[in-house]
Amino acid sequence: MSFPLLKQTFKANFAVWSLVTLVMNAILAQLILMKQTATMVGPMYYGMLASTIIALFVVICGDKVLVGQVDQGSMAYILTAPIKRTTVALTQMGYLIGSLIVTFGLMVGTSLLANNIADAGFKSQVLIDLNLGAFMVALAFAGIVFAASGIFNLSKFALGTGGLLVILFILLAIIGSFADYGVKALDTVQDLTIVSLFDYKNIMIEGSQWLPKLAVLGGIAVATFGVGTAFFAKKDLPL
Amino acid sequence: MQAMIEMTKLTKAYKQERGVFGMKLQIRPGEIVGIVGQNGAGKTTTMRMLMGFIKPTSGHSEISGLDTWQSAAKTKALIGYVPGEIAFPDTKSGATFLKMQLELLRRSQDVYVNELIQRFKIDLTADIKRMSKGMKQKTALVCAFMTQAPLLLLDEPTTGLDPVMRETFIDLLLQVKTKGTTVFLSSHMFNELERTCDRILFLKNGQVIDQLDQKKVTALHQYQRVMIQGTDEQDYNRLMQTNFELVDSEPERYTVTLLVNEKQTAPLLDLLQTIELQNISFSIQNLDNYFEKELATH
Repeated sequence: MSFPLLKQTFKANFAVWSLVTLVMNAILAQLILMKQTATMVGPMYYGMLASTIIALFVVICGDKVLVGQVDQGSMAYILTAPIKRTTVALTQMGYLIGSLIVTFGLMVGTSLLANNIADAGFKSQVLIDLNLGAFMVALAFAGIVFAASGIFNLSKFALGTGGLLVILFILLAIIGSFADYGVKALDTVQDLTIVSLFDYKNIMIEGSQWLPKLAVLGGIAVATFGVGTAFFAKKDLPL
Repeated sequence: MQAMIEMTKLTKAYKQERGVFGMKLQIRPGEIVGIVGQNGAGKTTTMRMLMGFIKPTSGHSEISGLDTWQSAAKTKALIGYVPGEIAFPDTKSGATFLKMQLELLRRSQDVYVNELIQRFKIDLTADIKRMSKGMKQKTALVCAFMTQAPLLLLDEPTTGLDPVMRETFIDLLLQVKTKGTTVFLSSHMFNELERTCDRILFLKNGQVIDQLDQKKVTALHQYQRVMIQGTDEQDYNRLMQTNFELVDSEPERYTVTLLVNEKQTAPLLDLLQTIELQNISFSIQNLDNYFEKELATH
């Protein structure tokens, strides 16, 4: 890890990160606080909104941390310093993972607090697990975008593959969610998206199936972050 | 003494026979070596291989005995670099950019950095996104020089600089040379290399096809280009039949340009007596003229 680079990346992405984090926390608090909407925290917020909003941050910043700077040419200045490419990739990865941890960590706090204030009736452990699940989806998304960001030298290719894949997974999750409202034929659609590996329904009934599924998301994250780092360390850079 | 830069059969082959092929070069510490060539000749590719940004297809290059691809992070500690295309990171102003860069290099803004900023007359408060090409180039130069690295790799460092700043740059180059800094720079403007470089390599289609050292440059300067305009076809034919080396001819204007050595003044005067002179002008043979010829013959 390179601390000066981490600082630069943090500053460069602060606006997007803070906005996304703020919006996510605000919506979550709102849904829990209002009696009528508390039931929608599961299907609407954790089923759709959480992954959709965080995807904004992941796609924008995942692109920016590597390929964006290669495409633009400013990566030359980072690599003029005596710093290994692997260190650059790991630092940027550290930033992405770290900021996701902070975002979802804050959401744990927000949800517990709102639950307490409104007496919404959620068990604390359930709220923590829900946020953990949403975090794992975000982590897998970040890995996918990061892999594309490490592989390609042009932003448009990285966004066209990694970014598109993330959006596709979200769309499939939204379409698939209609299966829960009686369109049984859409059940299979849920198998096509990694978002459904976050089994919020199972978490809410305090089941035991959700944890292994989250492990799969973790596996995706490990693999994709690894791929991105490996490619970035070895490829030709047009700087 | 160990060479600062050593390239052995260094090759990077791109599609359509572009790239750099079998480059062999040794640069001693303290030497200033220029590399010239047209766009696409392979100058930037050579620089990128030295920076460890691209992997050679075959052959290899070393900086101070360290492989530029394998040990890229270590060699960077020895290099100050100006990329061929200047693009700064997302930041507010020149000042914040320099601060960021100094942090990455783990250095502080010392007297030398301030001196560089003053020499290049950089307005550090200017919005980095709105900087002119020349301003960006100057900032990039400060970034490279402030490393005080033993080796400077400068890819077309004077692009966008005005004549005054070009002079400042040349002065600075000569100053770091006295401190023993090695410089490897590329340019498509031959003349600016003449004053600073110990050696000039001429690159074409990825290969070094000619090398000029100071001796050759001095020999080059012993020639004058003489443009002679006669009055009629008879004059023109006479001018065309001389033993002087012919550089250029324009039959419609009865004009020829000859290359005349400083020892050939007498035969030149003899020649001039035989024609009815309309116009004559002398200019010193410089690298531009020299490479024009090279370009035509190779």
